Amino acid sequence: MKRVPLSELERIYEALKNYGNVWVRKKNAYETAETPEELLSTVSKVKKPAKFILLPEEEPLLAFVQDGKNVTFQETIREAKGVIFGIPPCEAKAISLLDLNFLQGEGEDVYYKKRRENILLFGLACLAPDSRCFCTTFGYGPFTESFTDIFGVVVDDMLLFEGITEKGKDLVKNLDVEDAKGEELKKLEAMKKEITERVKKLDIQGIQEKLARMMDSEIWDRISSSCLGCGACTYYCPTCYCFDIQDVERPNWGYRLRTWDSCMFTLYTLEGSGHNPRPELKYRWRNRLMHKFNYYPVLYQEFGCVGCGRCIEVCPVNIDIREILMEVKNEPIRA
Amino acid sequence: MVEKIREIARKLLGEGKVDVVLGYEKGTGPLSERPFVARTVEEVEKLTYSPFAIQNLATYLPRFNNNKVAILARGCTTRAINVLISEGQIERDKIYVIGIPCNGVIKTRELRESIGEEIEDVSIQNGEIVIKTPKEEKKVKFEDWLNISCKYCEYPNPLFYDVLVGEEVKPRGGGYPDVEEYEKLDEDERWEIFEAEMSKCVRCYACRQSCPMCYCEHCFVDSTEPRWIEPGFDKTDLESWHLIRVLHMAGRCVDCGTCELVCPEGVKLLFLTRKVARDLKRDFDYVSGLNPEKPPFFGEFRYDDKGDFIL
Amino acid sequence: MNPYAPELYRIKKTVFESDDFTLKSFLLEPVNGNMMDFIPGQFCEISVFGKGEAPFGIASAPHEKEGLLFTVNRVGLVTGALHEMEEGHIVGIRGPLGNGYPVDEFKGKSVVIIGGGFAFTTLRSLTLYLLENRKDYGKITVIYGARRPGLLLYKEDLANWEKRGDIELHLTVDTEFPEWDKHVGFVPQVLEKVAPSPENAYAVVCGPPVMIKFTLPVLAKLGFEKDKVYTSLERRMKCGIGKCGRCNIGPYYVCKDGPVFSLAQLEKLPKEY
Repeated sequence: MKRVPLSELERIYEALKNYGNVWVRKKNAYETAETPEELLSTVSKVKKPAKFILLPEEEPLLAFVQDGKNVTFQETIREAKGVIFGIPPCEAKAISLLDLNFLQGEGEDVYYKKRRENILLFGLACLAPDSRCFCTTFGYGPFTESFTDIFGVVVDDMLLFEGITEKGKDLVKNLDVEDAKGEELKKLEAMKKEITERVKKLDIQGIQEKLARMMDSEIWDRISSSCLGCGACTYYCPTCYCFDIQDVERPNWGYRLRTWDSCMFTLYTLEGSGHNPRPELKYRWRNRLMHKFNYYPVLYQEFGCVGCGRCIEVCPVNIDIREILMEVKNEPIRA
Repeated sequence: MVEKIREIARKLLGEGKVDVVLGYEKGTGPLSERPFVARTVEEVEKLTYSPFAIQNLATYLPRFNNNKVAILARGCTTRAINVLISEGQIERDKIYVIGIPCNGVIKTRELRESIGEEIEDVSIQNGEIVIKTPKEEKKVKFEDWLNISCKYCEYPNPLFYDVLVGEEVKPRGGGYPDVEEYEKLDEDERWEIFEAEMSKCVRCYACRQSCPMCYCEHCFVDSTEPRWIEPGFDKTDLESWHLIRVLHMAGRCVDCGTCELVCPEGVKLLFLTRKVARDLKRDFDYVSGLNPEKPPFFGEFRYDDKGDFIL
Repeated sequence: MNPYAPELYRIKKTVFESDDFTLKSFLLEPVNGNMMDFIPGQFCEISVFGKGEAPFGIASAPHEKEGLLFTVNRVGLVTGALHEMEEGHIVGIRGPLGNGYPVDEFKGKSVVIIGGGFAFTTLRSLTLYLLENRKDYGKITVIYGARRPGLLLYKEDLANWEKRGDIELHLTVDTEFPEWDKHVGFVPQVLEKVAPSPENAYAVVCGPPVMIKFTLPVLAKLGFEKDKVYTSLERRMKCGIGKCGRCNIGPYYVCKDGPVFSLAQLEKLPKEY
C-alpha cells in the first residue's frame, strides 16, 4: 500500500488528469474536478450515483438524414474518459453488476463499452455509512476493494491506496509516493472492522428461493399499497439500467435516443394492441423485487441490489426495501 | 390526537364499516412520516400523525374504488376529494372522512438535506423543531420550514368530515405574497429562475404520481400520436412538461404542495401552480375544491368572464 | 458490431392483406449486400427513421429469396408511418432476432399449425419451410381462422395449399358469411372438430390471447403433451436483444430466449403475457 498526505494530493492529481476527466463526489452528483483540493470530498453518499456517467439519462445512438425515400445514418457514441475518484464500494459493485448486463453476451453494448473501458475506478472506503445503508447484506462491505481499479482509505490525514487491477497498478507504479507505514495499516484494519460492523446487515438467507414460490402471494398487494408508481427509486438506483429507445424527428433528419425507463411506469410493458401484461402496480412491484432478488441471481448468480439505500431516501413515500425483504422472508406460503 | 385517530380507526375496521384506513405511519428514519394503508385492527397501532406527513392522501382514493375507505383528511385533502368527486372519480358515500385540522406541514426533504448529517431524533417543541444529530442538537423555527402553501393557507380545516379529530384552527391566510414577489422581478430574472428550476428535473414523475389530480391513465407525456413532448432532457421538453402539467392543474390544483415536497431534486413547482391559482381567484373568483357540485373550472363559462387575455 | 445499427432495406412491394386496410404486407430487399439468413419464427426490429422501431415476425420463409415479407397491423406511431410508405422507401432492419421454431426437433414428426387473425405471420414462414422440406416431416395440418374472410392473410398461399395433396388445410371464420363454404366457428371449436392426432406430433399455436386461452385446453384434451405444444409470445420490445429489460417473463427475455416457448417452459414462469 502507498501513502500520500491529504495536503499533497497534487502529487497524484496530475497522473489522474492524464487519464482524462477526474470526477469527484459532490453533494448531488459526480462532477469534474478543476483542482487537486476537490479530491477531498466530505460527501459520503452522492445522490446521483456513478451510473449517471456510464449510462447517461439520455444518449443518442444513431443520427440519420432523410432525403426523399432515402435514408443514411451513422452511429453517435457518447464518450467518457477518465477517473471516477472516491467511488465507494457499493457503487463500484453496482458498476460490476451493470457490466454483467451490458458487456456480456451477443448484444454487447458498444456505447457502454466505449465508456467503461476508458474509465478507471479509484475507489475510497466508505467511512460514514448512514442508517439507510445495508451493503454488508450482499457479501461485501464499506472497505471492499475488489470492484475498483485502485482502492484507497483515508486514515487520519493520509490517503493510503493500492492498485487492484492491472490498469490500476500501472497508474500507481508511476506515482512519486512512499509506502504506507505499519501503524497506518494497523489503524486501517481497526477502522475496517469498526465501520463494517456499523452497517446493519440483513438476513436474506433463502430469499431467492422463497420469492420463486411467492408469485401468487397476497403480499404484493400490501407491499405496493402506498407506492405511487413514480420512477424515483429506479432512477437513483445504481444498479437499475432499464432503458427506452425512441426516435426524435426533425425536418429531414433526426436521431435515435436512448433514455432511462422505469419498470414502475404503466407504459413500460404496454403493447400496441392495448394489452398490458402488468396492468396494476402490484404486478410491477412483484417484477421489480423478483428481478433484483430472483431473476438477476438466476442469470448472473448475483443479487441486483448493492444495499446503498438510495431508493429509501429518494422515495416520496419512504418505501423501505429492507422492510419489504423482511416481510417477504417472514410471509407464510399458503398452500 | 394520535390516540383518537387510532381509536376511530380501530372501531371502523373492527366493525367492518370500512375495508381500509388511509393514514400515515412513522417511516424509517426521522423526519419521515409516510402514507400507510391499515387493513386490520392490529395495523391500526402503526397509525400516527405529525407535520412531517407530507403526502396528500387523496391520491390513493381512486385505486380503492372498489372498497369502502376511511381517509385522514386535512383541509387540502378534503378539497382534493371535492375535485375528485366533481370529476366523477370517486363517490362521497364510499369514503369515511376522518377530518383533521392542520397547522401546516414541514419541508422535510429540504430540512433533511440542510442538516446534512445523520439525524437521530426529531421533536417539535414550543414552535421549534429540535433535531438531534450524533454531534449536536439543532433547533430551527417551525415557521421557517413550513411548506409555502401552508404558510398562506386559507383552508386548514377539513371542509367536511364524518368525524373531526382535534380543534379547528385559524387559517394563516395571507393570499399569495410569494407569487407577487416573483412577479415584481423583471422578465429576464423570472426566466432565469424558471430555467434554473426546470433544468434540475430528472423526469421521475414523482410530482405527477403524488398529485391527487393526476389520475389520467394515459398522461400526455407518454403520448406518441401526437408527440407533445419528446423523450430526453432537452430543456424545452423539461420546461414544456411542467408548464403543460401546471395548465392541466388550473382550477383543479388544491395547493397542497405535495408535488414540490416530494421532488427528489427539489425542483420548485409551487411558484407556477400558485400563480395559476392566484390568477383564477383574482380574475374569475374561482377557488378549486370548495364545492363538489360545482362544475370544474374549464367545464363552464360565464358571459361575464374576463376576456382581456385573449386580445 | 453495433447491435443497435440497422441494415438498410428497401420496400420492393406492398399489398393490403385485409379488406379494412389495417393489415399491410411489405416485401423488403437489402440495399447493400445479402439478405439475412433466418429460421421460421424469428423476428426483426423494423426501423422507420424518425418514428422508431417495432418488432415484426418474419412472414417469408428462408428459401424465398426475393425478399423479406412482413405483415404490419396499423396500431400506432411506427406502424402508422410504415403503412404510409411506398415502394422505394428505405427502412432499417435489425435481425434476425429471437429463437425461432424448433424445426429440427420437429423432424420426422407431424406438425399441427394453429393460427388466429393476423398472428399467422410467422406461421406462414413455418408452413412454407415444412413444405419445402416436405420429406423431413410427417402429416402437416393447418387450422387458421379469422373474424371474417376479408381478414384472412396470404389468400394466395392459402389457395395454393388447398390445391396440394400433402397438407391438410382447415380455414374458418367466426360466423356465417355469404359465399363462405368452409368451416364456421372459432378456432378452438374447429380444432376440436378436426381432432388431429397427438401421436408423434407437435402443435404450434399463434393468436390473440383469448384464442390461445381457449385453444390450449382443447390441445390438452386431445392428448398433446405440454412439451410438444409451442407458442410465440408478443411483448412491447425496444432493444430486441435482451438488454433494455422490458420484455422479461421471469428471468427470460421474450426477445432473446423467445419469442417461441413451449407450454412446459411457460408453466414455470409468471403469467405475465
